[in-house]
Amino acid sequence: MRSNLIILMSSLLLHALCSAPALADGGKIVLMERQGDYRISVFTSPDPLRAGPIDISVLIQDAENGEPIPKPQIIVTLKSARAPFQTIRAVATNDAATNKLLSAALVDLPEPGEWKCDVNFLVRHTAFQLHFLIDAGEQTTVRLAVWPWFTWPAGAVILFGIHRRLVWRRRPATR
Amino acid sequence: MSPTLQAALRSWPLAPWLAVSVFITAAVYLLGWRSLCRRDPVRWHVGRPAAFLGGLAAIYLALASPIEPFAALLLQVHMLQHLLLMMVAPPLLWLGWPLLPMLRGLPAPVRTYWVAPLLRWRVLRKTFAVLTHPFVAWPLYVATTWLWHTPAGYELGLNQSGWHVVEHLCFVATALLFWFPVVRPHPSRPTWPRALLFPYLLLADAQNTLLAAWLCFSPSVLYPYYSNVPRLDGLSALDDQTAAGVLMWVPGSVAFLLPLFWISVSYLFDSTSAAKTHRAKRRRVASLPQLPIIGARQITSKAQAFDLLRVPFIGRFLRWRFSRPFLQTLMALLAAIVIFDGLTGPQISPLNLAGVLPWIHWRGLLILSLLVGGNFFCMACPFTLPRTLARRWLPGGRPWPQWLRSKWLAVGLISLFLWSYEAFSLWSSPWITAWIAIGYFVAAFLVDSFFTGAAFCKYVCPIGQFNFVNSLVSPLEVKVREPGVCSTCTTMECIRGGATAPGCGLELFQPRKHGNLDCTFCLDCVHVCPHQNVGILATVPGNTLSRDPIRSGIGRFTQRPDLAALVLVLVFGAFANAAGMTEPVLQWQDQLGMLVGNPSRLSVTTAYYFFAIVLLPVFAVSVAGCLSRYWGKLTDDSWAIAIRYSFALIPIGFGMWLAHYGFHLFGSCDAIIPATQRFAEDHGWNLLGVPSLQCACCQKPSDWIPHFEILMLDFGLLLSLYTGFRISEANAAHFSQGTKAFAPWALLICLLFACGVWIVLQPMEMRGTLPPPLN
Repeated sequence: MRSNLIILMSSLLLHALCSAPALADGGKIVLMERQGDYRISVFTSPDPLRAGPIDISVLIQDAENGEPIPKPQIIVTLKSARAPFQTIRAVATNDAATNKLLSAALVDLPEPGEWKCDVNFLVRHTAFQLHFLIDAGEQTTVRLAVWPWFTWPAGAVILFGIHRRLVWRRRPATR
Repeated sequence: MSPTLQAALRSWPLAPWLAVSVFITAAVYLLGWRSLCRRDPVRWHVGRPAAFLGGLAAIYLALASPIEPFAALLLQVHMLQHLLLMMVAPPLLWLGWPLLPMLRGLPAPVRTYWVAPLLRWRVLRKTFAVLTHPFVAWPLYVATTWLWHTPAGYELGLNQSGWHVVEHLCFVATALLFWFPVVRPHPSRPTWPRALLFPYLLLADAQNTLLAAWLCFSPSVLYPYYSNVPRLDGLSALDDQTAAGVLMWVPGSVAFLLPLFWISVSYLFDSTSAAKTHRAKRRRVASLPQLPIIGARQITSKAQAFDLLRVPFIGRFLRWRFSRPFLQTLMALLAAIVIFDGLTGPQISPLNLAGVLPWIHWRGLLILSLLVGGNFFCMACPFTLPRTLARRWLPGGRPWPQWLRSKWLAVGLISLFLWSYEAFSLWSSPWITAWIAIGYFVAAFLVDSFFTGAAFCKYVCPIGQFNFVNSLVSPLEVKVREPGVCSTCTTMECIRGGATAPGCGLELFQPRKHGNLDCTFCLDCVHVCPHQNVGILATVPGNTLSRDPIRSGIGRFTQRPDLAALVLVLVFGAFANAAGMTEPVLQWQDQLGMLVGNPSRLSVTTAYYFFAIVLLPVFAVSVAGCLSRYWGKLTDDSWAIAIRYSFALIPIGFGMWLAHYGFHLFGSCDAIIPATQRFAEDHGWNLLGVPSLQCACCQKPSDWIPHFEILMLDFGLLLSLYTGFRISEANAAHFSQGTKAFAPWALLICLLFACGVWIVLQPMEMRGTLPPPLN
């Protein structure tokens, strides 16, 4: 029984750890538009958008009944407004998204500023295109990104201080 | 099945931290419950773990199942998430009576030493008692529910992920407080009448109904966020809101009315004979002696401690008499390849095995092995292999000179190595690297040819000293299994030697050995002990640093200024060595050079190292020692205090070495591939393919590497602070005296930690790898 329990719990943990390899989870809606028979919604994260790794997710639905279109082919192209020759292209896939209604493209935005974003997609042999602008802020500094990693020991130290004080209080005053 | 549902069933977010936390909590609970169930199966029936695990599962489902991603698109799913967090998980967790199983499931030292004093803390107990009183818990729960369901509160949570986490924390915390008086988990003793729960739950249901009705009957969408998200399957935002209201109303009411019903039934049948029998049965069990949950520390036999020598395969291999020569031969082969390639191969470090293997892989693996095991590199040391093989023909026999019987020579050699590493860029010269390895073989051979024992290891070898000091923080230690067996031993083979192996060459007598200092893990004592009473046992990392007994072959720490100097050079050297490859420090060195009239690079490096590993440590520990003596009103000499506390710095230094070498290992571990391919190709073996030099190029380190580095520094910081505090406690008459004596050392440790964090956040040179390709 014990080994079965261990196997069960290990399997659950393994499932939990391996269930989704991607981090893309939609984010903030930047565009909702109807094109032909389809309603397209584009999400970006993080919010607010910053230079560095970002996620652009697209949801394509049937405009009539709201049903999602499964596995559309989507290409996201980003062009810097400052340097138009700087282009980033990525394929948005269902696998990369956490929410499997969406197709996500994970791109590394090299610099802050305004970026022109084109979303090209193909549904049932018909090509569509969307354009919109995104404004990315300065990249989060490393220090800001890792502050929880070097501040948590303060909590442990406070707890330890309380612990030792309590221990000393209970000691007989013979020392 | 609709495509939306199909997608929902596949949408499982990645939540490793939550998964690991839930798993550990469940494991600790089950361990404790099993032990309690054996004693009292009536009280600790299987329903308890079922409820507790159900509560954990509810939390996991709410936060790491398709509910989480879909909560952003549908209000009803979001409401379901909140119901799980507020009305399902908390009562189930309390129904599992978690306090005793969680305590019992913890390791005994953690439970008795760490947790017990905190649980006995009167302030904590009083605060909890106040917070779980119905007159406090009810308003807190209701206020939290209403506050976060106002349009402003809800929108805040929806639009900002940080606030969403705060919202969930508020829900779980207040719900746990709310459900505590209802469940009254054992062993709590409520001071309020049970009848109070009738208005308590009825009023909670009433406010829930009111809120649900507001959602159901509102003519407009209350939360504008949901008007602006794509609608799924033709469901309008208003319909979604109504559905959310119904969900809150019906299952919400059930959650409040069900316990009410249960309490009514228990009131009615409380005086029946069945209940009396049940209570009598419980009383019989309760009359048994109490379990040592948080009482006095349990004495565990050392024989029960984890012993690496008893692990299948690994233990058998290590007990094999020729395991050490086998490992040494492997390492000697690698050393031969390094020497050969270093002398004959291309003098470009990333292309040469002498530039890659020692400076990226060997250093990194060595420090990691010290972290997870012990001094296994000294066990496999190739440099002592030739003298071991040739020992019977060597003159030997002379004792190591008395005036050199200290660590001062090693202190000088380590300082020399650290300085020359930077001054002559050792990492970038395969030729010098090869000659260092040759020098090592020759020195070990010569020293041990003339002198008895393992004089080279104990007094000369800089790598050995590095391993000895840092292995004081390792979790494994070569030590006796049962001290009682040694007290009856008269032959003492572990120090004198026997027919199968010599005695300890480093003069460590096992029964009086404390910690890993000076232990090469040669396992001669293991092989020679006729009682098989020596093992590689688990120990609490750094535990031996805070105590100062007489150690065999070493003496007391307080009487060894040479050892303290060794520690300080290694600790400050860790920071100086890592800082020496950061951009700002290199720029400061240049600026300093220009300021004093452009001296050579060698002079600047010399000045830098003289300051960093000589002047700075002497100044820092002198000041800290004086302040410690003055503030703590200690009677000892300032130098004696400084020497004693220096050992508390070992963990933070070890953390810095780990961060530094780990950075190189994890950031450039693939550099070995092209170097090996190049080596094979040069010698006519094309089986490994053409070297792909991009592989070794300076690449952006993975995002997790800075996290790893800081985590290592965190553990170093905490262990150093803990060790320092324990040292101060040992010499203090009361808490405040100990704290005052420790304060300057705590400041020094924190300053070192701050330096370490600053270093790992700087742009660094990826040494041992090729520069980035030109675009």
